[in-house]
Amino acid sequence: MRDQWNSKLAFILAAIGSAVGLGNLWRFPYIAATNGGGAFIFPYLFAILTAGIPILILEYTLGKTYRSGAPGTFARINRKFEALGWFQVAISFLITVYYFAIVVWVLCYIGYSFTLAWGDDSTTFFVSDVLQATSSADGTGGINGHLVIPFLVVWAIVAFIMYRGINKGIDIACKICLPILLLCTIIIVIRGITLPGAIDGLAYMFTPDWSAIAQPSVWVAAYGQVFFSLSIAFAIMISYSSYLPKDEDVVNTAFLTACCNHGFEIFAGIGIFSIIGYMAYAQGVGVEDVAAAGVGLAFMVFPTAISTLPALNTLFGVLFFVSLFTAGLTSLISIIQAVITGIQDKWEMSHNKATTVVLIPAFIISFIFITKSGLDYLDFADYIANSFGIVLAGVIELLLIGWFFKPEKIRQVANLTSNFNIGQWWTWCLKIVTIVVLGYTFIINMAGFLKEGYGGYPMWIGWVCIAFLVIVAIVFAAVKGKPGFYQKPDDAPGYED
Amino acid sequence: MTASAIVMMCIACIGLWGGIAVSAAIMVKSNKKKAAAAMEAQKEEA
Repeated sequence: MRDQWNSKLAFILAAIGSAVGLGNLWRFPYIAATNGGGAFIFPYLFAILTAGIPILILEYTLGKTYRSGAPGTFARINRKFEALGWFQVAISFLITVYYFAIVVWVLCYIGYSFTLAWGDDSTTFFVSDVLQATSSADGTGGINGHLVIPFLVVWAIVAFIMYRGINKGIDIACKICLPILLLCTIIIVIRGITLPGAIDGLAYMFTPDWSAIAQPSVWVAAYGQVFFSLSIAFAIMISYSSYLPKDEDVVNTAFLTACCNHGFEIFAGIGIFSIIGYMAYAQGVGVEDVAAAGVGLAFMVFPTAISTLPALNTLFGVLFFVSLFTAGLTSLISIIQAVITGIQDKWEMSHNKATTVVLIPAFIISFIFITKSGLDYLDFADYIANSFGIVLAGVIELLLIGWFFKPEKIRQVANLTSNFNIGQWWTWCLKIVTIVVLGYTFIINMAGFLKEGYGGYPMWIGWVCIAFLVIVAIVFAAVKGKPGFYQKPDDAPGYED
Repeated sequence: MTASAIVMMCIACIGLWGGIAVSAAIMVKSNKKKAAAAMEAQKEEA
Protein backbone atom coordinates (compact mmCIF):
# COMPACT_ATOMS: atom_id res chain seq x y z
CA MET A 1 0.00 0.00 0.00
CA ARG A 2 1.27 3.47 -0.91
CA ASP A 3 2.60 5.64 1.91
CA GLN A 4 0.50 8.58 3.04
CA TRP A 5 1.31 11.70 5.00
CA ASN A 6 0.22 11.24 8.64
CA SER A 7 -1.51 14.59 8.59
CA LYS A 8 -2.14 17.57 6.37
CA LEU A 9 0.29 19.56 8.49
CA ALA A 10 3.01 17.05 7.62
CA PHE A 11 2.47 17.66 3.91
CA ILE A 12 2.28 21.43 4.30
CA LEU A 13 5.50 21.57 6.32
CA ALA A 14 7.25 19.28 3.84
CA ALA A 15 6.09 21.40 0.91
CA ILE A 16 7.16 24.61 2.63
CA GLY A 17 10.45 22.99 3.61
CA SER A 18 11.02 22.05 0.00
CA ALA A 19 10.19 25.51 -1.30
CA VAL A 20 12.08 27.46 1.37
CA GLY A 21 15.71 26.88 0.48
CA LEU A 22 19.02 28.60 0.04
CA GLY A 23 17.68 30.81 -2.73
CA ASN A 24 15.12 32.39 -0.39
CA LEU A 25 17.97 33.64 1.77
CA TRP A 26 20.68 34.45 -0.68
CA ARG A 27 19.03 35.10 -4.05
CA PHE A 28 15.76 36.96 -3.64
CA PRO A 29 17.00 40.07 -1.80
CA TYR A 30 19.64 40.81 -4.42
CA ILE A 31 17.33 40.04 -7.36
CA ALA A 32 14.77 42.45 -5.95
CA ALA A 33 17.32 45.18 -5.26
CA THR A 34 18.85 45.00 -8.74
CA ASN A 35 15.57 44.80 -10.63
CA GLY A 36 13.82 47.95 -9.62
CA GLY A 37 13.97 47.65 -5.84
CA GLY A 38 10.54 48.24 -4.36
CA ALA A 39 9.02 48.41 -7.84
CA PHE A 40 9.98 44.74 -8.26
CA ILE A 41 7.27 43.87 -5.73
CA PHE A 42 4.53 44.39 -8.34
CA PRO A 43 5.85 42.01 -11.02
CA TYR A 44 6.85 39.65 -8.20
CA LEU A 45 3.34 39.51 -6.68
CA PHE A 46 1.86 39.28 -10.18
CA ALA A 47 4.16 36.33 -10.99
CA ILE A 48 3.17 34.58 -7.75
CA LEU A 49 -0.52 34.91 -8.64
CA THR A 50 -0.24 34.00 -12.32
CA ALA A 51 2.52 31.40 -12.30
CA GLY A 52 3.59 30.24 -8.85
CA ILE A 53 0.21 29.47 -7.34
CA PRO A 54 -1.41 28.12 -10.55
CA ILE A 55 1.46 25.71 -11.16
CA LEU A 56 1.47 24.63 -7.52
CA ILE A 57 -2.26 23.89 -7.76
CA LEU A 58 -1.64 21.97 -10.98
CA GLU A 59 1.17 19.86 -9.55
CA TYR A 60 -0.57 19.18 -6.27
CA THR A 61 -3.72 18.09 -8.13
CA LEU A 62 -1.82 15.91 -10.59
CA GLY A 63 0.11 14.11 -7.86
CA LYS A 64 -2.89 13.59 -5.62
CA THR A 65 -5.15 12.47 -8.50
CA TYR A 66 -2.80 10.12 -10.35
CA ARG A 67 -1.12 8.89 -7.16
CA SER A 68 2.37 8.61 -8.54
CA GLY A 69 5.56 10.59 -8.89
CA ALA A 70 6.13 12.76 -11.96
CA PRO A 71 6.98 9.94 -14.44
CA GLY A 72 4.02 7.82 -13.31
CA THR A 73 1.62 10.75 -13.27
CA PHE A 74 2.47 11.81 -16.80
CA ALA A 75 2.50 8.18 -18.02
CA ARG A 76 -0.99 7.67 -16.56
CA ILE A 77 -2.25 10.70 -18.45
CA ASN A 78 -0.62 9.57 -21.69
CA ARG A 79 2.24 7.06 -22.19
CA LYS A 80 3.94 9.51 -24.53
CA PHE A 81 4.15 12.10 -21.73
CA GLU A 82 6.24 9.85 -19.46
CA ALA A 83 9.55 11.19 -20.79
CA LEU A 84 8.74 14.61 -19.35
CA GLY A 85 8.44 13.07 -15.90
CA TRP A 86 11.86 11.43 -16.24
CA PHE A 87 13.32 14.69 -17.55
CA GLN A 88 12.11 16.35 -14.35
CA VAL A 89 13.47 13.50 -12.22
CA ALA A 90 16.82 13.80 -14.01
CA ILE A 91 16.89 17.52 -13.17
CA SER A 92 16.25 16.62 -9.53
CA PHE A 93 19.07 14.08 -9.59
CA LEU A 94 21.45 16.61 -11.13
CA ILE A 95 20.55 19.21 -8.51
CA THR A 96 20.89 16.59 -5.74
CA VAL A 97 24.51 15.78 -6.56
CA TYR A 98 25.73 19.36 -6.44
CA TYR A 99 23.39 20.65 -3.74
CA PHE A 100 25.15 18.31 -1.32
CA ALA A 101 28.36 20.27 -1.74
CA ILE A 102 26.67 23.56 -0.80
CA VAL A 103 25.11 22.04 2.32
CA VAL A 104 28.57 20.69 3.21
CA TRP A 105 30.09 24.18 2.92
CA VAL A 106 27.32 25.56 5.11
CA LEU A 107 27.96 22.88 7.74
CA CYS A 108 31.66 23.79 7.72
CA TYR A 109 30.82 27.46 8.21
CA ILE A 110 28.70 26.69 11.26
CA GLY A 111 31.94 25.43 12.76
CA TYR A 112 34.01 28.34 11.41
CA SER A 113 31.57 30.80 13.01
CA PHE A 114 32.71 29.78 16.48
CA THR A 115 36.14 31.29 15.84
CA LEU A 116 35.28 33.65 12.95
CA ALA A 117 37.87 31.61 11.11
CA TRP A 118 37.54 33.65 7.91
CA GLY A 119 39.46 36.52 9.52
CA ASP A 120 39.77 39.77 7.59
CA ASP A 121 39.65 38.29 4.10
CA SER A 122 36.60 36.08 3.84
CA THR A 123 36.92 35.75 0.06
CA THR A 124 40.43 34.30 0.13
CA PHE A 125 39.45 32.12 3.07
CA PHE A 126 36.50 30.65 1.17
CA VAL A 127 38.23 30.17 -2.17
CA SER A 128 41.70 29.14 -1.02
CA ASP A 129 41.29 27.61 2.42
CA VAL A 130 37.83 26.07 2.32
CA LEU A 131 37.45 25.12 -1.32
CA GLN A 132 41.18 24.97 -2.19
CA ALA A 133 39.87 25.98 -5.59
CA THR A 134 41.97 25.48 -8.69
CA SER A 135 41.95 28.09 -11.40
CA SER A 136 40.39 26.02 -14.15
CA ALA A 137 37.68 23.43 -14.60
CA ASP A 138 39.82 21.18 -16.80
CA GLY A 139 40.34 18.20 -14.51
CA THR A 140 39.25 18.02 -10.90
CA GLY A 141 42.42 18.94 -9.02
CA GLY A 142 41.78 16.05 -6.64
CA ILE A 143 39.41 15.73 -3.70
CA ASN A 144 39.49 18.52 -1.13
CA GLY A 145 40.49 16.63 2.01
CA HIS A 146 39.01 19.30 4.33
CA LEU A 147 35.54 18.59 3.07
CA VAL A 148 35.50 14.78 3.28
CA ILE A 149 34.35 14.44 6.89
CA PRO A 150 31.61 17.09 6.72
CA PHE A 151 30.60 15.53 3.38
CA LEU A 152 30.19 12.13 5.04
CA VAL A 153 28.31 13.73 7.96
CA VAL A 154 25.80 15.39 5.62
CA TRP A 155 25.39 12.17 3.67
CA ALA A 156 24.81 10.24 6.89
CA ILE A 157 22.13 12.70 8.01
CA VAL A 158 20.40 12.67 4.63
CA ALA A 159 20.56 8.89 4.28
CA PHE A 160 19.13 8.47 7.79
CA ILE A 161 16.20 10.74 6.92
CA MET A 162 15.53 9.20 3.51
CA TYR A 163 15.60 5.58 4.72
CA ARG A 164 13.01 6.42 7.37
CA GLY A 165 10.52 7.46 4.68
CA ILE A 166 8.11 10.32 4.39
CA ASN A 167 6.50 10.12 7.82
CA LYS A 168 9.27 9.00 10.14
CA GLY A 169 11.98 10.76 8.11
CA ILE A 170 10.94 13.78 6.05
CA ASP A 171 8.02 14.81 8.28
CA ILE A 172 10.12 14.75 11.46
CA ALA A 173 13.07 16.47 9.74
CA CYS A 174 10.80 19.31 8.62
CA LYS A 175 9.15 19.59 12.03
CA ILE A 176 12.61 20.05 13.56
CA CYS A 177 14.23 22.20 10.87
CA LEU A 178 11.48 24.68 10.02
CA PRO A 179 10.95 26.04 13.56
CA ILE A 180 14.74 26.34 13.96
CA LEU A 181 14.94 28.18 10.63
CA LEU A 182 12.13 30.54 11.61
CA LEU A 183 13.57 31.24 15.05
CA CYS A 184 17.09 31.91 13.72
CA THR A 185 15.69 34.22 11.04
CA ILE A 186 13.54 36.14 13.53
CA ILE A 187 16.61 36.75 15.72
CA ILE A 188 18.69 37.83 12.70
CA VAL A 189 15.95 40.21 11.51
CA ILE A 190 15.50 41.80 14.94
CA ARG A 191 19.26 42.26 15.31
CA GLY A 192 19.58 43.49 11.75
CA ILE A 193 16.93 46.19 11.80
CA THR A 194 18.29 47.62 15.05
CA LEU A 195 21.78 48.19 13.66
CA PRO A 196 22.99 51.58 12.43
CA GLY A 197 22.95 51.68 8.66
CA ALA A 198 20.18 49.08 8.44
CA ILE A 199 17.90 51.69 6.93
CA ASP A 200 20.32 52.11 4.02
CA GLY A 201 20.26 48.39 3.34
CA LEU A 202 16.47 48.32 3.40
CA ALA A 203 16.32 51.43 1.22
CA TYR A 204 18.59 49.70 -1.32
CA MET A 205 16.21 46.76 -1.43
CA PHE A 206 12.86 48.55 -1.32
CA THR A 207 13.30 51.99 -2.91
CA PRO A 208 11.27 51.73 -6.10
CA ASP A 209 12.69 52.49 -9.51
CA TRP A 210 9.44 52.67 -11.44
CA SER A 211 11.15 52.72 -14.83
CA ALA A 212 12.14 49.08 -14.20
CA ILE A 213 8.54 47.94 -14.60
CA ALA A 214 8.72 48.75 -18.31
CA GLN A 215 11.72 46.46 -18.80
CA PRO A 216 10.97 42.88 -19.92
CA SER A 217 14.09 41.66 -18.09
CA VAL A 218 12.54 42.66 -14.74
CA TRP A 219 9.40 40.61 -15.44
CA VAL A 220 11.59 37.70 -16.54
CA ALA A 221 13.55 38.07 -13.29
CA ALA A 222 10.31 38.13 -11.25
CA TYR A 223 8.88 35.04 -12.94
CA GLY A 224 12.28 33.34 -12.72
CA GLN A 225 12.55 34.03 -9.00
CA VAL A 226 9.04 32.72 -8.31
CA PHE A 227 9.60 29.66 -10.47
CA PHE A 228 12.92 28.62 -8.96
CA SER A 229 11.86 29.48 -5.45
CA LEU A 230 8.76 27.28 -5.36
CA SER A 231 10.35 23.94 -6.37
CA ILE A 232 7.96 23.57 -9.30
CA ALA A 233 8.50 21.74 -12.62
CA PHE A 234 11.11 19.33 -11.34
CA ALA A 235 8.99 16.55 -9.94
CA ILE A 236 9.05 17.50 -6.27
CA MET A 237 5.53 18.79 -5.70
CA ILE A 238 3.96 16.03 -7.81
CA SER A 239 5.93 13.50 -5.76
CA TYR A 240 4.98 14.98 -2.39
CA SER A 241 1.30 15.39 -3.25
CA SER A 242 1.09 11.80 -4.52
CA TYR A 243 1.17 10.78 -0.84
CA LEU A 244 -1.87 12.92 0.03
CA PRO A 245 -5.27 11.36 0.78
CA LYS A 246 -7.68 11.77 -2.15
CA ASP A 247 -10.09 14.06 -0.35
CA GLU A 248 -7.53 16.66 0.74
CA ASP A 249 -7.76 20.25 -0.38
CA VAL A 250 -4.96 21.42 -2.67
CA VAL A 251 -6.06 24.90 -3.77
CA ASN A 252 -5.85 26.57 -0.39
CA THR A 253 -2.75 24.52 0.39
CA ALA A 254 -1.08 25.92 -2.72
CA PHE A 255 -1.93 29.47 -1.65
CA LEU A 256 -0.56 28.77 1.83
CA THR A 257 2.67 27.21 0.52
CA ALA A 258 3.32 30.09 -1.86
CA CYS A 259 2.55 32.77 0.73
CA CYS A 260 4.76 31.07 3.33
CA ASN A 261 7.62 30.66 0.88
CA HIS A 262 7.54 34.20 -0.49
CA GLY A 263 6.60 35.74 2.85
CA PHE A 264 9.70 34.14 4.31
CA GLU A 265 11.77 35.50 1.39
CA ILE A 266 10.69 39.04 2.15
CA PHE A 267 11.26 38.56 5.87
CA ALA A 268 14.72 37.06 5.41
CA GLY A 269 15.57 39.76 2.89
CA ILE A 270 14.79 42.42 5.47
CA GLY A 271 17.21 40.79 7.90
CA ILE A 272 19.96 40.17 5.40
CA PHE A 273 19.94 43.57 3.79
CA SER A 274 19.72 45.30 7.17
CA ILE A 275 22.99 43.64 8.10
CA ILE A 276 24.49 44.39 4.68
CA GLY A 277 23.45 48.00 5.19
CA TYR A 278 25.20 48.03 8.57
CA MET A 279 28.33 46.56 6.98
CA ALA A 280 28.36 49.26 4.31
CA TYR A 281 27.90 51.90 7.02
CA ALA A 282 30.78 50.43 9.06
CA GLN A 283 33.06 50.36 6.01
CA GLY A 284 32.01 53.81 4.85
CA VAL A 285 30.88 52.60 1.42
CA GLY A 286 27.59 52.41 -0.44
CA VAL A 287 25.36 49.34 -0.05
CA GLU A 288 25.66 48.70 -3.79
CA ASP A 289 29.42 48.25 -3.29
CA VAL A 290 29.01 45.33 -0.92
CA ALA A 291 25.71 43.73 -1.95
CA ALA A 292 25.95 40.32 -3.58
CA ALA A 293 23.94 37.17 -4.13
CA GLY A 294 24.35 33.44 -3.99
CA VAL A 295 27.55 31.78 -2.91
CA GLY A 296 29.29 35.18 -2.82
CA LEU A 297 26.77 36.60 -0.37
CA ALA A 298 26.70 33.56 1.89
CA PHE A 299 30.40 32.75 2.10
CA MET A 300 32.19 36.00 1.33
CA VAL A 301 30.07 39.09 2.06
CA PHE A 302 28.04 37.89 5.02
CA PRO A 303 30.98 36.47 7.01
CA THR A 304 32.60 39.90 6.71
CA ALA A 305 29.36 41.47 7.87
CA ILE A 306 29.26 39.08 10.84
CA SER A 307 32.80 40.03 11.79
CA THR A 308 31.82 43.70 11.66
CA LEU A 309 28.90 43.33 14.10
CA PRO A 310 29.37 45.26 17.35
CA ALA A 311 28.74 42.24 19.59
CA LEU A 312 27.85 38.53 19.69
CA ASN A 313 29.50 37.94 16.32
CA THR A 314 29.84 34.20 16.87
CA LEU A 315 26.18 33.84 17.83
CA PHE A 316 24.96 35.59 14.70
CA GLY A 317 27.37 33.68 12.52
CA VAL A 318 26.06 30.42 13.91
CA LEU A 319 22.45 31.58 13.56
CA PHE A 320 22.94 32.58 9.93
CA PHE A 321 24.63 29.37 8.88
CA VAL A 322 22.25 27.20 10.89
CA SER A 323 19.36 28.85 9.03
CA LEU A 324 21.10 28.16 5.72
CA PHE A 325 21.70 24.55 6.81
CA THR A 326 18.10 23.88 7.83
CA ALA A 327 16.74 25.56 4.70
CA GLY A 328 19.15 23.61 2.51
CA LEU A 329 18.51 20.28 4.23
CA THR A 330 14.72 20.38 3.90
CA SER A 331 15.06 21.30 0.23
CA LEU A 332 17.65 18.61 -0.41
CA ILE A 333 15.55 15.81 1.04
CA SER A 334 12.59 16.85 -1.09
CA ILE A 335 14.70 16.79 -4.25
CA ILE A 336 15.98 13.32 -3.45
CA GLN A 337 12.47 12.07 -2.62
CA ALA A 338 11.29 13.16 -6.08
CA VAL A 339 13.85 10.79 -7.62
CA ILE A 340 13.10 7.96 -5.19
CA THR A 341 9.36 8.22 -5.84
CA GLY A 342 9.89 8.03 -9.61
CA ILE A 343 12.07 4.90 -9.37
CA GLN A 344 9.96 3.23 -6.69
CA ASP A 345 6.71 3.66 -8.60
CA LYS A 346 7.96 2.42 -11.97
CA TRP A 347 9.50 -0.81 -10.74
CA GLU A 348 7.30 -1.30 -7.63
CA MET A 349 10.38 -1.45 -5.45
CA SER A 350 10.33 -1.31 -1.70
CA HIS A 351 11.13 2.09 -0.26
CA ASN A 352 14.52 0.97 1.07
CA LYS A 353 15.55 -0.56 -2.24
CA ALA A 354 14.55 2.53 -4.23
CA THR A 355 16.38 4.73 -1.73
CA THR A 356 19.55 2.64 -2.10
CA VAL A 357 19.28 2.66 -5.90
CA VAL A 358 19.18 6.47 -5.83
CA LEU A 359 21.60 7.27 -3.02
CA ILE A 360 24.54 5.10 -4.12
CA PRO A 361 25.11 6.71 -7.54
CA ALA A 362 24.29 10.14 -6.12
CA PHE A 363 26.89 9.64 -3.38
CA ILE A 364 29.57 8.62 -5.89
CA ILE A 365 28.84 11.44 -8.35
CA SER A 366 28.59 14.11 -5.67
CA PHE A 367 32.29 13.61 -4.90
CA ILE A 368 32.97 15.63 -8.06
CA PHE A 369 31.63 18.72 -6.33
CA ILE A 370 33.98 18.48 -3.36
CA THR A 371 37.05 18.38 -5.56
CA LYS A 372 39.22 21.44 -6.00
CA SER A 373 37.40 22.31 -9.21
CA GLY A 374 34.08 21.56 -7.56
CA LEU A 375 32.86 25.16 -7.48
CA ASP A 376 33.25 25.53 -11.24
CA TYR A 377 31.40 22.29 -11.98
CA LEU A 378 28.71 23.26 -9.48
CA ASP A 379 28.26 26.70 -10.97
CA PHE A 380 27.83 25.35 -14.49
CA ALA A 381 25.62 22.41 -13.45
CA ASP A 382 23.42 24.81 -11.47
CA TYR A 383 23.18 27.12 -14.49
CA ILE A 384 22.14 24.24 -16.76
CA ALA A 385 19.64 22.82 -14.27
CA ASN A 386 17.96 26.16 -13.70
CA SER A 387 18.32 28.11 -16.95
CA PHE A 388 17.81 25.16 -19.29
CA GLY A 389 16.35 22.22 -17.39
CA ILE A 390 13.66 23.62 -15.13
CA VAL A 391 12.53 26.29 -17.57
CA LEU A 392 12.19 23.78 -20.43
CA ALA A 393 10.49 21.26 -18.15
CA GLY A 394 8.01 23.94 -17.10
CA VAL A 395 7.25 24.96 -20.67
CA ILE A 396 6.70 21.37 -21.80
CA GLU A 397 4.58 20.55 -18.74
CA LEU A 398 2.30 23.52 -19.38
CA LEU A 399 2.11 22.81 -23.11
CA LEU A 400 1.21 19.15 -22.60
CA ILE A 401 -1.34 19.75 -19.84
CA GLY A 402 -2.62 23.08 -21.13
CA TRP A 403 -2.89 22.33 -24.83
CA PHE A 404 -2.75 18.54 -25.36
CA PHE A 405 -4.65 17.44 -22.26
CA LYS A 406 -7.66 19.30 -20.86
CA PRO A 407 -6.74 21.52 -17.93
CA GLU A 408 -10.45 22.02 -17.25
CA LYS A 409 -10.62 18.40 -16.11
CA ILE A 410 -7.81 19.07 -13.65
CA ARG A 411 -9.54 22.23 -12.46
CA GLN A 412 -12.78 20.33 -11.82
CA VAL A 413 -10.93 17.63 -9.90
CA ALA A 414 -9.15 20.27 -7.81
CA ASN A 415 -12.42 22.08 -7.03
CA LEU A 416 -14.14 18.86 -5.90
CA THR A 417 -12.17 18.72 -2.67
CA SER A 418 -10.94 22.28 -2.19
CA ASN A 419 -11.72 24.77 0.53
CA PHE A 420 -12.62 27.27 -2.21
CA ASN A 421 -12.96 26.96 -5.97
CA ILE A 422 -10.56 28.25 -8.58
CA GLY A 423 -12.01 29.97 -11.62
CA GLN A 424 -11.12 30.09 -15.29
CA TRP A 425 -8.31 32.53 -14.56
CA TRP A 426 -6.27 29.51 -13.47
CA THR A 427 -6.62 27.84 -16.85
CA TRP A 428 -5.66 30.98 -18.76
CA CYS A 429 -2.67 31.64 -16.54
CA LEU A 430 -1.35 28.17 -17.32
CA LYS A 431 -2.25 28.12 -21.00
CA ILE A 432 -1.05 31.59 -21.91
CA VAL A 433 0.70 33.77 -19.35
CA THR A 434 3.23 31.38 -17.86
CA ILE A 435 4.05 29.59 -21.13
CA VAL A 436 4.80 32.90 -22.84
CA VAL A 437 7.09 34.13 -20.06
CA LEU A 438 8.86 30.79 -19.60
CA GLY A 439 9.19 30.26 -23.35
CA TYR A 440 10.75 33.70 -23.77
CA THR A 441 13.10 33.02 -20.83
CA PHE A 442 14.17 29.67 -22.32
CA ILE A 443 14.89 31.17 -25.73
CA ILE A 444 16.93 34.02 -24.26
CA ASN A 445 18.88 31.64 -22.00
CA MET A 446 19.61 29.14 -24.77
CA ALA A 447 20.62 31.84 -27.22
CA GLY A 448 23.01 33.27 -24.64
CA PHE A 449 24.45 29.86 -23.83
CA LEU A 450 24.97 28.88 -27.47
CA LYS A 451 26.53 32.24 -28.33
CA GLU A 452 28.74 32.89 -25.31
CA GLY A 453 28.78 29.75 -23.21
CA TYR A 454 28.69 30.40 -19.49
CA GLY A 455 31.21 31.86 -17.08
CA GLY A 456 34.15 31.12 -19.34
CA TYR A 457 33.91 27.45 -18.37
CA PRO A 458 34.64 24.66 -20.89
CA MET A 459 31.45 24.03 -22.84
CA TRP A 460 31.73 20.26 -22.46
CA ILE A 461 30.53 20.52 -18.85
CA GLY A 462 27.28 22.07 -19.98
CA TRP A 463 26.78 19.62 -22.82
CA VAL A 464 27.40 16.66 -20.48
CA CYS A 465 24.71 17.96 -18.12
CA ILE A 466 22.24 18.55 -20.96
CA ALA A 467 22.99 15.13 -22.46
CA PHE A 468 22.43 13.52 -19.06
CA LEU A 469 18.97 15.09 -18.73
CA VAL A 470 17.88 14.16 -22.24
CA ILE A 471 19.28 10.62 -22.19
CA VAL A 472 17.69 9.80 -18.82
CA ALA A 473 14.34 11.09 -20.09
CA ILE A 474 14.45 8.99 -23.25
CA VAL A 475 15.94 5.79 -21.81
CA PHE A 476 13.89 5.61 -18.60
CA ALA A 477 10.69 6.29 -20.52
CA ALA A 478 11.54 3.59 -23.07
CA VAL A 479 12.26 0.92 -20.44
CA LYS A 480 9.09 -0.93 -19.52
CA GLY A 481 7.81 -0.64 -15.97
CA LYS A 482 5.46 -2.83 -13.95
CA PRO A 483 1.88 -2.89 -15.37
CA GLY A 484 0.47 -1.01 -12.38
CA PHE A 485 2.70 1.95 -13.15
CA TYR A 486 0.65 2.85 -16.24
CA GLN A 487 -2.79 2.28 -14.74
CA LYS A 488 -4.50 5.46 -13.76
CA PRO A 489 -6.86 5.42 -10.76
CA ASP A 490 -10.50 4.92 -11.79
CA ASP A 491 -11.54 8.40 -10.72
CA ALA A 492 -8.69 10.19 -12.48
CA PRO A 493 -9.44 11.92 -15.82
CA GLY A 494 -8.15 9.99 -18.80
CA TYR A 495 -6.60 11.41 -21.92
CA GLU A 496 -9.50 10.24 -24.07
CA ASP A 497 -12.30 11.30 -21.69
CA MET B 1 14.39 55.46 3.85
CA THR B 2 11.87 57.15 1.60
CA ALA B 3 8.13 56.92 2.10
CA SER B 4 7.79 54.98 -1.16
CA ALA B 5 10.29 52.35 0.03
CA ILE B 6 8.37 51.94 3.28
CA VAL B 7 5.10 51.67 1.35
CA MET B 8 6.51 48.98 -0.97
CA MET B 9 7.91 47.02 1.97
CA CYS B 10 4.49 47.19 3.65
CA ILE B 11 2.68 46.10 0.48
CA ALA B 12 4.97 43.07 0.17
CA CYS B 13 4.68 42.12 3.83
CA ILE B 14 0.93 42.67 4.14
CA GLY B 15 0.23 40.95 0.83
CA LEU B 16 2.17 37.81 1.65
CA TRP B 17 1.79 37.55 5.40
CA GLY B 18 -1.87 38.52 5.04
CA GLY B 19 -2.15 35.69 2.52
CA ILE B 20 -0.74 33.28 5.11
CA ALA B 21 -3.29 34.46 7.66
CA VAL B 22 -6.24 34.22 5.27
CA SER B 23 -5.22 30.76 3.99
CA ALA B 24 -4.66 29.47 7.50
CA ALA B 25 -8.03 30.84 8.65
CA ILE B 26 -9.82 29.19 5.72
CA MET B 27 -8.03 25.93 6.51
CA VAL B 28 -9.01 26.02 10.19
CA LYS B 29 -12.63 26.84 9.32
CA SER B 30 -12.76 24.01 6.79
CA ASN B 31 -11.28 21.54 9.27
CA LYS B 32 -13.89 22.54 11.85
CA LYS B 33 -16.67 21.99 9.30
CA LYS B 34 -15.29 18.57 8.40
CA ALA B 35 -14.99 17.61 12.06
CA ALA B 36 -18.58 18.75 12.70
CA ALA B 37 -19.84 16.81 9.67
CA ALA B 38 -17.97 13.71 10.81
CA MET B 39 -19.52 14.00 14.30
CA GLU B 40 -23.00 14.38 12.79
CA ALA B 41 -22.44 11.32 10.65
CA GLN B 42 -21.29 9.36 13.73
CA LYS B 43 -24.37 10.43 15.71
CA GLU B 44 -26.69 9.37 12.89
CA GLU B 45 -24.99 5.99 12.68
CA ALA B 46 -25.30 5.54 16.42
